Amino acid sequence: MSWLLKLFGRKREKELTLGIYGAPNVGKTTLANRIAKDCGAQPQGIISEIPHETRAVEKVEKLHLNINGRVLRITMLDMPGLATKIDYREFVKYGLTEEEAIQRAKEATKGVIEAVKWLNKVDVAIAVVDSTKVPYDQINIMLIGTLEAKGIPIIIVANKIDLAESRPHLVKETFPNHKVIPISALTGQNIEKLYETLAKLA
Amino acid sequence: MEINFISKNATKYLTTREKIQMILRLVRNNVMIVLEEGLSPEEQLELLKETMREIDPLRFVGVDIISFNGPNRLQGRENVTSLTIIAPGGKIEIVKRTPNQLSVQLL
Repeated sequence: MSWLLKLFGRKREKELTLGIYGAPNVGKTTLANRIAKDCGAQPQGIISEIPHETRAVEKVEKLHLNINGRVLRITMLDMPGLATKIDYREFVKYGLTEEEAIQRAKEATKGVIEAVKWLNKVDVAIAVVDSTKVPYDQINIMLIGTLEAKGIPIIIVANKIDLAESRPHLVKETFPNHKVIPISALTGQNIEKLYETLAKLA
Repeated sequence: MEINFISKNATKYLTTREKIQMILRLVRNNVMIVLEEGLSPEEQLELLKETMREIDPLRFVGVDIISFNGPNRLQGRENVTSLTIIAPGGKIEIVKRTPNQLSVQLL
C-alpha cells in the first residue's frame, strides 16, 4: 500500500495534534476559535483583554479541515499564554478584586506549566506573534528556539494585521528561517494561506 | 539590587536542573544574574516552568529573562546564547536592543 501512496502522491487524510502557542494576549484563542469555526465546530474559547484568560489547555478534538482536497483531522490545543512572571497586581488594574487577581495568578502559573508539558505531544506548532509589537521578544525566542531544538514543525503567525500599527514584515525579518504567515484571526484575513501552509507541513 | 556576573567556568559542569536551582535561589534573594554562558531556549523554557512552580503572588512574581546573542546568533539561527540576564520579575526593563547593543534599566 505504501508504494502506491509514494507512487500517487501524499496520503489525502492526515491526523495531527496542533498546538497554538505564544505570549498572553497575542490572539491564540481568537485563532483557535477561527479554526474551530472554519472546521464547522463551535468556538469554545473565551476572549478577554485581561491577560491569562486561558488558564488551562483547551482541547478541541475531531476537527476536519479540507484544504484543496486534502483532509486534516486535527486535535487542536489552545495553550495558556507563556510568561516568565505573573503579577496579580496587573489583573487588579483591569478591575478584578485582589482576591480574584491572586486566584487568577495562581491558576495562570499552573496553565503555563501545563502548556510547556504539552510541547512534547504536538505534531505541529503555531507560534502566534502580535505583529503590532516588537517581535524580538524573549517568549518568542525561547518558544521558537525550543520548537526548533525538538524538531517540531513551526508556523509563525504574525497576527492582528487588521490593525493600523501592524508590522508583519518585522516578524519576517526577525525569524527569517521560518515560514511567517501574516493573518488577522479576528477578521479571517489571509487565513487560507495559514491552512495551505499547515497542509504542506502536516 | 545586587548583580552577580557568573563565568562560564562556574556553570559548565552544572546540569540544567542545577543551573535553574542556582538561578532561582539567587533571584528569589533579589539578585540579578548575568550568565557568561547563556541558557539555551530549552533551558530558558525549563526555567520558566520551574519559576511558575515557585511563584507566590504576595512574595515572588517570577523572573525577567533577557538573552543577548550578538550579531551572528540572532533570530533563532543558533540555539545557544552567548549571554543571559535573569532578574527578579518587574525589576528591569529593556531600553534598547539591537544585534550589537543591549541597554537595560534597573527599575
